[in-house]
Amino acid sequence: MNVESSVVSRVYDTFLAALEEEGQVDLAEALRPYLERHAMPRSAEIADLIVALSAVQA
Amino acid sequence: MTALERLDIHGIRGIADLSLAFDGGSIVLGGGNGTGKTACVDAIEFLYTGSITPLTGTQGLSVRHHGAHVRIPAGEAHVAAHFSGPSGSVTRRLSGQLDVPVDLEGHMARGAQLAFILRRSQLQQFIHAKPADRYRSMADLIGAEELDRTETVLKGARDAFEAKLSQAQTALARIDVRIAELPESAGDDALLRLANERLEAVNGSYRLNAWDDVREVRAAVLRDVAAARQDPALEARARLAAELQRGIGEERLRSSAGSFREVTGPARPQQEHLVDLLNLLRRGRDYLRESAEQRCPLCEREMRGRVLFERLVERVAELEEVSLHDQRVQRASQELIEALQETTQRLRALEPLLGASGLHAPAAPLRDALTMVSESVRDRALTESRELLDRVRQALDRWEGWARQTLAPIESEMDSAASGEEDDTAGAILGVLEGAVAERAAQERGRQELVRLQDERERTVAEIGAAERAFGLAERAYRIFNRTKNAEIQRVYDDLRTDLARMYDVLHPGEGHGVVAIAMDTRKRGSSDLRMGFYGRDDEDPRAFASEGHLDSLGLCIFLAFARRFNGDWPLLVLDDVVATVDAAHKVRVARLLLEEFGDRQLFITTHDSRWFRELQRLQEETGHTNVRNLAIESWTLETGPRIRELVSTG
Repeated sequence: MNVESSVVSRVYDTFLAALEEEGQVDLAEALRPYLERHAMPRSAEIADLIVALSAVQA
Repeated sequence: MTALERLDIHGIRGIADLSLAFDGGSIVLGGGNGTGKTACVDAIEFLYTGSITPLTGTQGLSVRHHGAHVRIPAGEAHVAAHFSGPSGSVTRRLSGQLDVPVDLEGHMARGAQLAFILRRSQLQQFIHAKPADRYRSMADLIGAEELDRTETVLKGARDAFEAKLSQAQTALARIDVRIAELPESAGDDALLRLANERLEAVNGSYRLNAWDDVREVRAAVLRDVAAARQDPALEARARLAAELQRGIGEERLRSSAGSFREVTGPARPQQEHLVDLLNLLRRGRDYLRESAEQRCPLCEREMRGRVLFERLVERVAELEEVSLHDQRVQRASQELIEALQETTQRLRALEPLLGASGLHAPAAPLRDALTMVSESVRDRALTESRELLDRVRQALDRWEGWARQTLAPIESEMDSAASGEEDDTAGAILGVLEGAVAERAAQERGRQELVRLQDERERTVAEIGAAERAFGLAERAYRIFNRTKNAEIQRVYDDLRTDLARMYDVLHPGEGHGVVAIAMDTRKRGSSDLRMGFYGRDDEDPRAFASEGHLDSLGLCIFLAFARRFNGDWPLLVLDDVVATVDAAHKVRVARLLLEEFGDRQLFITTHDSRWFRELQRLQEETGHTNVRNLAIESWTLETGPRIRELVSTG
């Protein structure tokens, strides 16, 4: 059993599902590739992503 | 499952040469203090990690310098392990060399990561650790480091938007303060009324009906000053100054000349040709209208003048209808002619003043150019008109240059004359006019500043809106992630707690302790609390009421719960003298717990307590654990290291 990867993957899956439940489907889809690769980029890159998404939502 | 068959130790710590035959099972190693029990544990740790905990983290101590037996060269010191399932041997040397067969690489990598060795000195480490360090040691096992990094990234994005939002809100507050500080605009009319009230207070003779009157009133004041001084030349210069300030319609002339050039420019040769034809036909029409000629003026042949006239009228009408361009040319021509007339008249009005003031102005070339252009435009000679307009422009430039040069000294002379008046009335009036102009300019600047600030405010409000939306999204993502991560880690904690509480209950039945729990501290990031109840006092730090022995057994239970939860099918569990402070009755329970809960693993247990050693042996028989070797260290010397005798079960 690999405790490490199972906990991390479960957190990511639950997080993305919770985002979708709250109506943030686009954000969930935008973050999914990073989380699936276990390679979160820098905050600045995520901030750019969020700016673009929030502009679309506006 | 990989099993340890034999461990060969050479030149490590207090062991010169020792071979421990696990045979895929467990070993209980008993012996007095300083007989090499812990050196065996050191050798196992060195095999898997390359380090030895007691030689790590203390200044002056190192595996490289203190890991080898004092009589054996460090280059020879090594540990070799022989495994089955898959079978193979691993050798790690103190020199740093590690020989691992491919089949055992995964096993060795896991061994380097997992916590499967517990020493007596480490028993209370987790209990005494700071909540953050406690969390860190848990996080390493769970993989929460990656989760923490992800959380930090999301928090970083959220914090960036929060800072941006705060910055924009501060900027907006500053803009609002600056807008509030701007003087209230009285309006042009109010300022004009105020100026007239002030003029009235000084002298009722002057009044501003509009802001454009300022120059004229100023000139009138100066003219009156000159008249009062009975100086005709000065008076003439004052009048001239007033006229020069009014100008000669240069602006209108330049504007209409520009429009004329545009509509008659060479960009439309066809239209120009059409206009030329139309003009020719018009001239012919006009000629025939006023003449009774019956012969053609060109070829002198007889003609029917009336018929030709009517045909020309029709043709001109057709061409005029289709020629919108001609209409524009006509309008531009008319406007230019009117502007030329105005300038000519103004120039003519200036001539007597120029004569009286004794000044020589470049009026003649300008007047000539104006006259020529006027005639050319009236004759509809468009190309020629454009060329002549160049002469007008040059003459106008000369005139304006002369006017500027002339006006400055005259105004200076007038100001001096005005300020020299005894009652200073003129000076006061000029002061009122200057003040009014300055106030109006200040008001205009304020108005422009207000417009600029309002634009800036609008942009900042938009920025705040965007930052609020982005912050809301980032905040939500961060909060959801934080909540999810904490919940999942708490689930792991809960699993641990179940095992921990059960094991502790086994060791200390009916001893008054309440619930033992490990929990996330939700108020702090990356923090874990260890709590325990005690005779009705719930949720206390275990150190508050538990004895040293109880804390040691709590530490042992935590280690075992971790091993059960995180080590999976890892075969080894090493316990080095971990029951030293526990009394005899509790030691029996520990022995039972180890054999019953972890009997399926390979245990390596050391103890200096001969009673517990015997108790462990007895329990092996009682619980049917036959694959355990009980080894007693009989003696130890520097040269030989520990001398071991195996105690065989009596059955």
